[in-house]
Amino acid sequence: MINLVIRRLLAVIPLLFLVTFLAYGMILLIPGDPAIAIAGENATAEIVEETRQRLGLNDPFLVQYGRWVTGAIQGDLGTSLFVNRSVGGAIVERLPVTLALTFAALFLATLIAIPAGILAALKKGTWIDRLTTVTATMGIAMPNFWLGLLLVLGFAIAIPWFPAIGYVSFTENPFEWARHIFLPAIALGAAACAEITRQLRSAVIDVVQQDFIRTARAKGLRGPSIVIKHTLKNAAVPVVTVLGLQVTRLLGGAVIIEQVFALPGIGGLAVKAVFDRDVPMILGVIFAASLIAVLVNLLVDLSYGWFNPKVRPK
Amino acid sequence: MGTETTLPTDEIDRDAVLRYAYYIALSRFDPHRANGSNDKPWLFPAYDRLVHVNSAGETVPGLAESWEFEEEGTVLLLNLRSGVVFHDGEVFNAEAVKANIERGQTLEGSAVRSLLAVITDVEIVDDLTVRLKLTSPNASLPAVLSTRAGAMISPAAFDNEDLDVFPVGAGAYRVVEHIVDDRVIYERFEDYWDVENTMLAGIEMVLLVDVQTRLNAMQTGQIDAAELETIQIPDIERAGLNFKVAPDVSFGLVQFNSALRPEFADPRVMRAINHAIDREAITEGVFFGFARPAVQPTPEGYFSNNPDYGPDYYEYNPELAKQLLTEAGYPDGFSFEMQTTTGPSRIATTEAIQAMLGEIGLTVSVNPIAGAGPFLDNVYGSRTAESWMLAWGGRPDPSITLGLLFTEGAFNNPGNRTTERVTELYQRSISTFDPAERTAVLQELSAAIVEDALDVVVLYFPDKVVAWNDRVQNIDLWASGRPELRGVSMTKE
Amino acid sequence: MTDVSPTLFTPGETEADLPPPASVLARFLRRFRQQPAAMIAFFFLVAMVLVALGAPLLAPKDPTAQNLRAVLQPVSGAHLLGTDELGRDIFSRLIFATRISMLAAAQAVIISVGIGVLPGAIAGYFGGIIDTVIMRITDAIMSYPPLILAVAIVGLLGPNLRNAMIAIGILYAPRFLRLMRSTVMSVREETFIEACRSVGCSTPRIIGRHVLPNVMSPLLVQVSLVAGFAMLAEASLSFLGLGVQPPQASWGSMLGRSVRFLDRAPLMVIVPGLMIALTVLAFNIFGDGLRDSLGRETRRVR
Repeated sequence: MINLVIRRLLAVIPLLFLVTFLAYGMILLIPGDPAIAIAGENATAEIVEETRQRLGLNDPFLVQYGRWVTGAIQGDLGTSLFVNRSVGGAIVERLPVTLALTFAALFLATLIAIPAGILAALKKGTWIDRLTTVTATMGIAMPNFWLGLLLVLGFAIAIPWFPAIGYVSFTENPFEWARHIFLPAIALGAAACAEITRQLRSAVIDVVQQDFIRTARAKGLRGPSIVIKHTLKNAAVPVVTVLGLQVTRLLGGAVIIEQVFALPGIGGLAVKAVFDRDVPMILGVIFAASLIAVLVNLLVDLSYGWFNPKVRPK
Repeated sequence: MGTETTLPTDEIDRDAVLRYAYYIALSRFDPHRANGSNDKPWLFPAYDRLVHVNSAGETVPGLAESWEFEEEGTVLLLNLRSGVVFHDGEVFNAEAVKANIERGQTLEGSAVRSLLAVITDVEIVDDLTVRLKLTSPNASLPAVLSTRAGAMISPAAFDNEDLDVFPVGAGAYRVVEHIVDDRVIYERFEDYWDVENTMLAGIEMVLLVDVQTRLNAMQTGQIDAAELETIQIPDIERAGLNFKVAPDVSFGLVQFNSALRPEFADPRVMRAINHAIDREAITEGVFFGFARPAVQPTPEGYFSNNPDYGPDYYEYNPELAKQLLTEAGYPDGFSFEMQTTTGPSRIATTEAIQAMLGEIGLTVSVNPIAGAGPFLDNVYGSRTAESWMLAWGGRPDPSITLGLLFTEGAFNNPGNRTTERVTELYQRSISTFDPAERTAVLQELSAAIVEDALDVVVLYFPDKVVAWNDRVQNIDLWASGRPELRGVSMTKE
Repeated sequence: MTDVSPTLFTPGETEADLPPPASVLARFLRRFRQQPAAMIAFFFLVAMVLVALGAPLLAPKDPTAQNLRAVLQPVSGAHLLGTDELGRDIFSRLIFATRISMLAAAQAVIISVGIGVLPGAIAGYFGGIIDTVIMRITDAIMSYPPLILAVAIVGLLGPNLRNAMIAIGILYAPRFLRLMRSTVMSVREETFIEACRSVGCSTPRIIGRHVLPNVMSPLLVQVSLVAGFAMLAEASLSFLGLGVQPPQASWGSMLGRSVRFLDRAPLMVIVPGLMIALTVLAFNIFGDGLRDSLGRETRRVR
């Protein structure tokens, strides 16, 4: 198992190189000049050129990427072109908010999806099943920021149960943290919840139809115990896969939800960095978000073995 | 709504923290490297300036108690306030002024260099007196020193690596926490010289970009005061908030690059465009009446505004506009691109102009640019934009605005179009020191700019609205465009 | 290249793998008709396409005609859904926006298919190092959180519909690529292909006769799903101000532009959002219906 973990971790490294190389190439090939934004509204052409020189923006692509990678290996993601501070520091400052939002969304989604999916599967074909399926499909179809706006309108302004905006860190006040994160997490997690419900439903239906469950039934086991003992562990594999995929998508979706709820996460950082053409910052955010996505999917891969030894990877 | 009365001091809660929401991210906390006039609200609680501007837009004493021009305006003498200290305990004196001005002029990446270029030398007369020697007489310099260019950083902090993030000034409030692009926590600086204007225990300034988000936050009581948009006034009223509407020196304009598109170098074309735009429709429709149509680059009632050139000077007249276009040799019109930023109200205004110019045969394609930086690059940097719609931020002195937009070689005049009399009047406006005489020159200059139909088409001066809850006292909108939070206090709960 | 006549195959082999088109269609239609939800979704989408095509005939007003003296008007006989912030008829704009939104989704799907199919087929067909290289790049693209990458691409390229759709197209290309690759791989392994190749079947012929028919059904399912996702992504980008160029409007941009009137004209926010939700819903249900009707072999394609 440890061997496997190490092998997988090593495989991640070239992937990260590729991820950053593609991102870097794409960003630098797109025309545009960050120097003017940095030089400011009273700049002159001369100051702009000087800024360009100072930032090394006139160097060839590979030189710039090489410089970045060399730094990144040493844990230095560079300095923001715009504000004199480290990209790594800015990301570390904001990542906890995005992670909290992403995982709160995932947690709420799973919390709702597990009973909903199992219930729909066990009551396959009834109105409960149909209602769950339709609600779930609707959840996937709704623009998440639209849902967020409606939630604010409903549960922050009309009925003032939750704050409309802002973030309180968990260590500062867990209760306030929960109150602040709840609406954004629901808005962000709705689609994930729907997706997990659907996957779980079909996974449970598949497993229930398999021989060993029939055998268990024949042996006289009934109802919930079957579900818990046999079905869930087997149905977990596809569900965990979906969870892994959802993390990537939620990290992306957080960009918008953070804007709607004014949460200080990496989404706002990404949008501003794009608007400022702050190349190191854009790369840093893409790198950090991709790194998390890659690591979570690695965990998902490894968890297959735990859930079902039969599919343990060679 | 209405004017605020000063409350007896025992009503004021000296322990109160004001939660204020602002909507434009701070570029950098180093005032010499901060790159926009929109950074003011973040900077000025922490950084005091040599000169202050009052709510009417007049220069008043700041860290300089008084000043006077000498030697026919080529020297500005500043008498500094005594007993002022920086947040790090350093003493503010003539040395500090000299060091700051020189830093602003020479620092790599300085954004105030062009503003300070007029100063050739800073001479220390004594500990509290400096003489600024100038390249030429410059009447707008005191106003310039009320901007970031006159902000004083503690010289001991010049080389601080984190000066972009953590300020060390002599302002009324010092920064205790800064989460970049999210919030700044300020705490009262107990040694500040102007005790009467330091009634708050602190300020928590939050960045809330979206205007609906700001209103939501005010409604749920998460913030105490914020600038909102005039279109929200019915909602603000419904929410039971206090608010004040006031005119502003910033204005909406469309600018054309006549160097790139020679069509615009013909004053008849520019007059046609002026006549084709229904300014009142824009102020009514897009701003719900909370903006004033205008053709001059300074607002009505402001000292440089020429009262003879009202918005009707270029009355809405599409027939006349078409005729002017035909005279200029474009009976079928022509097409061009108009850039703007991606803000919804900016796009709406540009779309309105697009439709109006379409009426006289000018086919406009609207191109919203993501981000103010790239947008400014296109229009004033690489100068690749043909035309654009933007809001010109107020400058503390009209000569600064007029010079930047209408003189030859100026950074904000990419078409480089001007006329002899505009050039001549501009020179006179910065070398005339008698206020009455200067006002006359500036009014004449304003008239010349309107008549000569240069590359800028002025559209409107929008009203600003600031809203606050019942605890907030003495908040006001300043003619310089942004609430400075100077003198704001809060009552006890 | 030798021309190989179909008679080289025994009829049985052809039948097993490639039933005559008529019977596939008949079976599909029979199965599809048994799913009322999918049928409703299908007719809804057809209606949306018709609205998009017939927008100029259906819209009661010119969608770009402004009236700055009658902005944000409430619902009335003259304006079925009121007017927007420039006094334009919201109902007419909604109808024309259908065109842009459907077109946007179509563009994104075409770009996705265009980018994904060929490399997928190549990777699956040749395998080995080529496959490894293509799949590593695919993995890299799939590791980017989708919206962050799209925001970066569009923000830097410039906000307009084409760039937005390029970004979204790139994001969803891996779905088609993987689908194509796995189908080609599995077909390649089939014994009859080896037989065919041994007698000199050309590569295009193998792809045309054996790969395409197998990949069509799952491809259609994916097209339907990706169209829905593309529409959502377009709405998100438009919300951030990175969408269509004015005066055109998509549902997403109508929604993004009207958020600041949420209190005053909630319909302006609710209606476009609802249109997006319903259409994406229809794409999803239709896609599910397709999958369920196209037979066992095409189910559960990731």
